[in-house]
Amino acid sequence: MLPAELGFSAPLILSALVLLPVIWLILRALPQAPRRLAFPGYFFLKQISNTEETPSRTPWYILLLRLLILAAVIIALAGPFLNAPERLARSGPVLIVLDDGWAAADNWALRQNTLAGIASEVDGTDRQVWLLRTTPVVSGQTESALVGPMTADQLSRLSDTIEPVALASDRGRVLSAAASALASLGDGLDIRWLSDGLFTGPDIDERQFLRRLDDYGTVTAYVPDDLPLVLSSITYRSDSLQAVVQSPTSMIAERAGQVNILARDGRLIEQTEFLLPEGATQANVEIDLPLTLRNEIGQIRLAGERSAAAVQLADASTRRAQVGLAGSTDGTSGTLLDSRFYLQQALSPYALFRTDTISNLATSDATVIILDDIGRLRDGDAEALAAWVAEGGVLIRFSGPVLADASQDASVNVERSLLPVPLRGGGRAFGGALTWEEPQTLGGFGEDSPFADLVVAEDVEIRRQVLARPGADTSERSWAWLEDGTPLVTARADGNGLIVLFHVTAAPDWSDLPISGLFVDMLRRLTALSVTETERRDPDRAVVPRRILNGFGRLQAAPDDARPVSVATADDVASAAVPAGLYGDPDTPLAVNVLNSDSKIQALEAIGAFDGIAVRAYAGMDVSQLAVWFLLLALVLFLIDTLVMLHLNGKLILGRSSRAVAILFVASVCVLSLSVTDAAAQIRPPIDPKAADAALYTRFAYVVTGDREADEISRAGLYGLSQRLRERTALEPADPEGVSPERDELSVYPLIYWPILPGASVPSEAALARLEAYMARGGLIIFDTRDGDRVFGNQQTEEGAALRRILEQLNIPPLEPVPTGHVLRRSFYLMDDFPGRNSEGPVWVEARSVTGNVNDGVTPVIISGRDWASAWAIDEGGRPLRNMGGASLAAREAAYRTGINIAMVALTGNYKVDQLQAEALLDQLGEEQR
Amino acid sequence: MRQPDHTSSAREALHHEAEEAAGSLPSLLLEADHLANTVLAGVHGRRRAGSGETFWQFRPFVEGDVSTQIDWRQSARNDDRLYIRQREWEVAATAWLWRDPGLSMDYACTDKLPSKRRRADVLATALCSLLARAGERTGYAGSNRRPYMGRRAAETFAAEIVDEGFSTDRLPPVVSAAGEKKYVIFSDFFLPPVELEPRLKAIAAERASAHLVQVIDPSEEDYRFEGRTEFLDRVQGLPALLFGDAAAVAGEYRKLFRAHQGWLEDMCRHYGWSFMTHRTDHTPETALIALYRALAPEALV
Repeated sequence: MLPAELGFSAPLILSALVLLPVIWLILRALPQAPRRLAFPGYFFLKQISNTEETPSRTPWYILLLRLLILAAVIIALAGPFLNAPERLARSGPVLIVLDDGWAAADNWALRQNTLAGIASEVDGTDRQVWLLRTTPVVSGQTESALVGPMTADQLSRLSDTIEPVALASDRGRVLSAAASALASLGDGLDIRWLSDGLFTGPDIDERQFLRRLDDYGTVTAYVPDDLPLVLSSITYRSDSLQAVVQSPTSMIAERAGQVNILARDGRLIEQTEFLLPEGATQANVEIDLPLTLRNEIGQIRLAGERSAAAVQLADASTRRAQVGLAGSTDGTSGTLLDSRFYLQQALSPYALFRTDTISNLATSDATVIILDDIGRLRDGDAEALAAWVAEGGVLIRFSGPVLADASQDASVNVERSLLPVPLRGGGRAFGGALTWEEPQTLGGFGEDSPFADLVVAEDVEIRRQVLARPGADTSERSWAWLEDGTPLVTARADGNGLIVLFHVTAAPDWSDLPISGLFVDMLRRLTALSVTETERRDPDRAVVPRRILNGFGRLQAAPDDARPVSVATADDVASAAVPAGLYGDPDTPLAVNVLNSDSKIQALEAIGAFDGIAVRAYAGMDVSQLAVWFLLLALVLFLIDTLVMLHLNGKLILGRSSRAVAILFVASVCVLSLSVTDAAAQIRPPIDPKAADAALYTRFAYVVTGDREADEISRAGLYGLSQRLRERTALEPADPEGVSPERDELSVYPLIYWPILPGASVPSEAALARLEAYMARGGLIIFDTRDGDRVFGNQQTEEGAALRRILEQLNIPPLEPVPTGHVLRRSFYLMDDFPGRNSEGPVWVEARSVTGNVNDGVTPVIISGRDWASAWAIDEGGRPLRNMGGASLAAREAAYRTGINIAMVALTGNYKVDQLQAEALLDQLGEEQR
Repeated sequence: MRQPDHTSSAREALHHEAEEAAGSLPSLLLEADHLANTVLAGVHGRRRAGSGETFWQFRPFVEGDVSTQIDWRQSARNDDRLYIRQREWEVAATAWLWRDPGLSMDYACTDKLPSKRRRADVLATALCSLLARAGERTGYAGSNRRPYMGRRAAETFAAEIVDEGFSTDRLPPVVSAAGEKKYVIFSDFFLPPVELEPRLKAIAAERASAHLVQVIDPSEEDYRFEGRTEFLDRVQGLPALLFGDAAAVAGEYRKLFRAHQGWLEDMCRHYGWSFMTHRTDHTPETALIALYRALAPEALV
């Protein structure tokens, strides 16, 4: 490269520099302004004032400073510039071969300068100028790659307006296309090849290009100093994005950079650093983004690179679904029995998960919500979910014991319960010990369903399912069915959304489906429905270009004459016919990028494409740049001069100003640290002191009903029970606490006693959700209607009705009267019955289920009307508060034993259950050892 | 003499000035009182434990006292003791304080230091307060009022000096009142010896003793100016003096300053007076203690 030349656009102004010595003399003669002050010492000074006043000189450094300022201004006005264009002594027509692909975009101004330089070179001669652009042109278009002949003036104007194209140069094909036109120009052309130094296609064309060009005349190649980095592809992984940064040549030195991730509205979402080590040609950049942000990605670009290849546009297919999960069980076990495990395994590459309550999920931006064995939906949840589905959400439901139980209730409305088809209660089982039906296999998939092209797996057995009620809609709503034609998957469109029901569980206890590959395909297609339009799958559909990428990597409105292309052709990288950009619907665009993961970028120099010809560097920077620097220098010097003068005149006291700076600094640090501590305090919500206290000691709780007498009995009852527990067991509960499910944190209490009064109101949605969470996480609630002695036959008391209203809203497991051998009968005392103040009516607990229970087999609810609290209640002195009738001592003792058993179940539940089954466990162990 | 048509506006200006000055009176009094208390605590110690003035009027006869001084009436009340009456307390001298009202005193080189006038005011008021507590009579030599005594002396004194404006007459006045006089003169004494000497002589001719306190600003003594500086005169409005490099005359200035101080010291020594210099960047307590000791040596016995 040649040394940069320094030139001046107006050299005459430099003669003003002669004035500097004159100004020096004048400045020296002029004294600086004095400091004036009233001073009583004047009395003495006036006696020495007759001494001759020596005229004070401006200090030499001030003089020098001012002369420098003047000199800088004069030089700036003279318009200095570096890199004066060089001239080549040639003759004949000029052919400019311009690589105007994206690779030239980053330093496009260099090309423009060079074009302008060539224009000034041919100016004043009669040489013709021709311009050949090497990016491919659509064959049908009239605009040819070869432009000319032009005058110097036209070229100069063209150099201002010409822009790069978002395509790679295809030199071989362009040269072939222009061959005849070039031949007519005759040989002896002065050929200037403004190369971009890169190629993407096969290297044979590139090797031949120069030889073919040489046939037309003498070639001078302009070669860029540095080659651009490109962003060749983006891979969407399950937990992160991976961007690939490529360099055409292996790096001579390590290079760091940034990748910017922009939203569709152009806002910057994230910035990630990357490092290209020495000798590497490629760097993989991991981008970790929350899914919500990931779905907003519009484009990813290399910071500081100005070319279309440094941009990757993102389209709808890259967005991942956000799947919300809600289920009856807690789902924290993570074992092979847990349905959530299968769902997450199946969907994790295509979606991100979020586990939350139904109402939270419905208001979140989840695109798919999976309800795993949820039976009854509360009104609020159902409404929220229905609204969410209508907006386009995909609701996927899985069956299970809870749903099977809930659907027994004939009053359940299909529309309201968010099921695709009405269900028959209870379900059916095949292949059990008492059935003679064989387990069923898959029969087929619906033609119109997204599963249409899936292959039926022969080895998938269905052992148990919930049944759809036969009806007109049922067959058309089923997307998959068994051999005997009973629906396995049913679906119903609702608004813009979809409700899908799997008639089996998501765990492999009812069927083999969850452990088959089919399950993954089915779920994947269902989630894909939520994020992409169904019509996207049609390869022949035509899409209209909406926004087009220019050579600099900026999105522009598509030109009016842009032609629609088919989806199939848009799948590849950009070409002359399919320019890079966004196509189709603005909400679910289809992106066409300049490069994809198959693109290979190489340097021309590496294959020796420039061997044997004159090689030059591009003309460099623009002229006025230097003037700006000189003016800036003058300004800085002027500021320094001002400061020095202020100091000399004593108006600037350094000590004071530095103290002000220090104060400002300290103040800002204080403000910052204050805000930091505030922020830290806000992260954690305050803990309710009542809950904190309850967490310190084990204690029972009762639900405060508002009726003072009932509440007092509840408290005294639990107090009495606590006393007995202290006396007889290792459990030493603290005094009971009254709680309200509306306000209090329940999870700190192992057992909650809830007396149901006549006309008790249903708690709010939030309280119900809290109660459900309490039961799901191992809590035990005793619902006591206290009406056992008043119930005759199937007659319902007011308390019973109130309890029914509450339970209708709660998602509780199927119930049964306490069976023989139940843990409640064995946990501390061996009990035949559970008497309270009365011993009438059944005691309900969670039904044992083949499919496994909530809470590891420990019942989350005990429901009865035995009025236990009254039987337990004692006052501070230990005297019973309520009369027990005849054999009061024995009856009270039996009630306490019941209470102790309940407390033991609440606190040591699954341990006691295991004890009951110890015999079976030991047998099993013995067999294994043998 | 003022023209008649100027009187009303002049009165208004004076009134305004007085109001402003009255505003600073409480702070001056407070400062002076504080100062006086500090000094009193340091000097007197247990003196105030006694029962009052009467205790000080008599003291036990000791060997060496002249027997004619014995107060027989007092001694008769006690069997075993003889008391003598101290003459000094009977003939109270009047301390005439005066502070230079010239513009030259209104100067402080930085905001952190008080002006010379303010410092002189504080010192004078505090001294007045101390003397009044010791039973001395104090007067302000600038006015023709009678001297003050008692607890309100300092207050009245302060009101008087604060009310006073600036004046070009900067020579200490000679008080015409009768009796023994002690002058305490606060000034910077930046006055030509030809003017000052006759006045001091006149004071000495009254057989009065005088204490000269030269209140100066640190910049006046140190003279640390440099660079091109123009000095203005506020006292007489003389033309400004421009120095190309103020530092060049520093040596000469200091020499003149010392010479003037030396002349003053010589004068005082000649008349048997005391002379002290007080810089406004020094604490006023030291100056006050020195003054108090010089003024009332008897009270300290």
